[in-house]
Amino acid sequence: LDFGGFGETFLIDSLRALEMNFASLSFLGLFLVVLAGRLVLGRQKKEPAYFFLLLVASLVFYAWHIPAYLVLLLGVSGLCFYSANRLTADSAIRSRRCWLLVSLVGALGTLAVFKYTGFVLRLVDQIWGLFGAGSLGFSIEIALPIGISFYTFQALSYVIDVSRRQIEPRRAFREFLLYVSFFPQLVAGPIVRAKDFFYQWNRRRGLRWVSFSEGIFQMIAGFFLKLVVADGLGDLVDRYWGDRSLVTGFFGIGCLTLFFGMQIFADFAGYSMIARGLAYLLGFRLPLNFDAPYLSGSLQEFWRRWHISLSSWLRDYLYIPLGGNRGGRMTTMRNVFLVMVLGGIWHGAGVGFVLWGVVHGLGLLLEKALGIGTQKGTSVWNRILWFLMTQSFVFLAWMFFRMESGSQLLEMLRALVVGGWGVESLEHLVWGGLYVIPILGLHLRRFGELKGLLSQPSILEKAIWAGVMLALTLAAYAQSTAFIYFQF
Amino acid sequence: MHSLRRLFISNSKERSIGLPIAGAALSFVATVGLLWVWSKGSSGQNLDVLGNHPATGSEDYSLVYDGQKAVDQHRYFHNDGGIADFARGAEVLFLGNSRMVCAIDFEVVASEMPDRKVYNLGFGYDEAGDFALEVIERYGLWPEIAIVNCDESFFRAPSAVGGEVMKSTHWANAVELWEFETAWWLRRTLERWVPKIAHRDNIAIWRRHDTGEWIVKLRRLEESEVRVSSTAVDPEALAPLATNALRFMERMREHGTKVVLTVVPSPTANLRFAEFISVRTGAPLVHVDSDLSFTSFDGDHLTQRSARLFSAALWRELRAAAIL
Repeated sequence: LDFGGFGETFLIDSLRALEMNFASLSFLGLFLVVLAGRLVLGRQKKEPAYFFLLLVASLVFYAWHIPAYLVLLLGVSGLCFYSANRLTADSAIRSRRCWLLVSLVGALGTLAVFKYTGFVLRLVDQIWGLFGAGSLGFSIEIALPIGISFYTFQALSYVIDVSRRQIEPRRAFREFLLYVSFFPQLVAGPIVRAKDFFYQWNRRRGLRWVSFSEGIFQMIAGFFLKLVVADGLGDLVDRYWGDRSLVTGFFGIGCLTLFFGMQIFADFAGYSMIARGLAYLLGFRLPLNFDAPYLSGSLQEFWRRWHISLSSWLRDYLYIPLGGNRGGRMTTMRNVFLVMVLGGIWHGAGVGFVLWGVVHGLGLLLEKALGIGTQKGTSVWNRILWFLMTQSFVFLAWMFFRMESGSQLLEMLRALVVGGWGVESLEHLVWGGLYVIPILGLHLRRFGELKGLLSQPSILEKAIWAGVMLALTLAAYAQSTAFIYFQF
Repeated sequence: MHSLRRLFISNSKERSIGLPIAGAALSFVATVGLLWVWSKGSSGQNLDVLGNHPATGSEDYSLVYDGQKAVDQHRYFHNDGGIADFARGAEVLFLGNSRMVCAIDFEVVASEMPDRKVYNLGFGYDEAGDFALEVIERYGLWPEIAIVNCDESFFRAPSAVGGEVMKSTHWANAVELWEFETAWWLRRTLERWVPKIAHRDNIAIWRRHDTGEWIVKLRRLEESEVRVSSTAVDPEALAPLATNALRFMERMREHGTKVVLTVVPSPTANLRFAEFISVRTGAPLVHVDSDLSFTSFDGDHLTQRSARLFSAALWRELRAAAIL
């Protein structure tokens, strides 16, 4: 590490990162070892040897990226575990609050240092430059520890739940460490609550066909969404977003934004499905993270369907402690806005993420003011109108999320207003449309289920779809396999 | 064993296993069949480009690039399989980015310098000279003459690809190479049975160990003309590049290497820029006759025919300047 003096570049980015994502062969090797252990270790799969295997595999999975960062994972976990135990041991409210504060400052401070320091300094530098004072002349580039946003929130939820006496603290650190570092959900969620994880601790984990086949199905569907849909759309989006002269008019920009919205859904929902599938195979259940978000008829509903584990975390540990909707209209609006902005910042250290959070916050305020999505008994046409407005808003907001610069964003927004066709190649649009079909199908299927028109798919139906998706996934087995949400 | 038995034998509470497996197998086969029908006659399938080894007449490996990492930089920086050793003892090293690698024809080189060892140490993805310099220093590859394609990318900081590789440990490198090569083999094997959905790969490249040259295979050839422009440059704006260039030259000269600049025709090639660097660093500039007509297979890199033309012309100029 080169901690140069003020005015020089601090370089903590000299650590080389390896990736072990779900589509890597290294991960396949690790998983096969764990699966073999699943078959042979213990009879009920709740013996210490099995948990030890899972813990070692999880730590190897994490350390694969940058081994030195294992210290961070152990540090944050250790701090939260110790604080939770002290919380329970102390009966004085003051002391309990103090331990809660220690864990919050420690965990969030680590997150802030590793995720936001470079961004804040760059911002300060730019603002400094606006006053004509030139550059401050220093920067910090810190390699982002994978999954830090996820495991920090997960560890904190444990401490907070213990402080609220909603759960009992674990006595063994290794159990808590496995909860925080459990490799299927370590780097990109879902953010699992302690109560949702530890209730499964003493359960028998015999290898049942139903859960095994469900795990396989989830994994195949997840890989299909990632490798076929998200990567296919990603090629188009990267190309057109990078060269804006290829897409100029309303139609072209609209399609580009639609494709990106679908890409990020397929990427993130695909990852979550793989994580859930892996967990199934290992005898654990992870919570649902996406529930057909593009069916939402209001922004409020969207956030109940999109990245459910994050939005429910923000609701339970931020929105409600801030007062929720108990303090009158203005307080509610303030809380909603604040939560959305912080949700945006959680996604990454960039102006685009902050703006995305702000836009969603403003949208929710507007929605609350107009009463959209809350009135029961409204006509079908009203609901269709709100659905269209909501989805237009959601996809428009993705432009902020994906923006590479302010000028690019303004240019794209201007092009939306100008109108016109503005597409270089119709062939690419058709390809994009083909990639979108599976996502539409998934949403329509869910719509049918919600309306009672369709029942849950049978194992046979899932098996048929799994065969189709496996063939297409192998066919599209291409070279780009980095998950977008790894960077968060 | 208990778990295994339960996997294959269902009980009354659980559904049967055979039907779903048969359903999955049938739908898989049907989908693959449809893909074959759909892709029949398509020139986009990779087997014709990527799956057929070009028979380079030497040991070689394919250049894989997954959008973030390139196998070429990995192998040379860590001397994987002793690849960098092949360049040791070369009297002439060609340095530059992919344009330089594609511009040198080794049939011409062999006929012009049959008794001298020549090696092409260019790297793709707009790699900078500092990366090649690191490789040269690590493995002591100092040549008598280094011929550099003088374009702006060469005197910048290492590319994102090269920068990452320069930070990597031997372990990380070995793992990544294993990932690259196994995935490559897996993909090529899969493609014999399951056609690709989208036709993404138009080009495949192999690199020979003994000369460092690239063997380029294309799905289709769409030639376009490329030339060296002569556009005025702003010396002040280019001052940092000139400083980098000077530093590069000095490190080469410290080891007795003579650096010669040349300009490979491409859309970004600018003779004035090369002249500017030549003046600032004192390195001689050998420019190939701009009256020659060069073509590119992708708008950026020379075709094989143009590479022959360029290489022969370059040798003529080098001899005329009494450098070789």
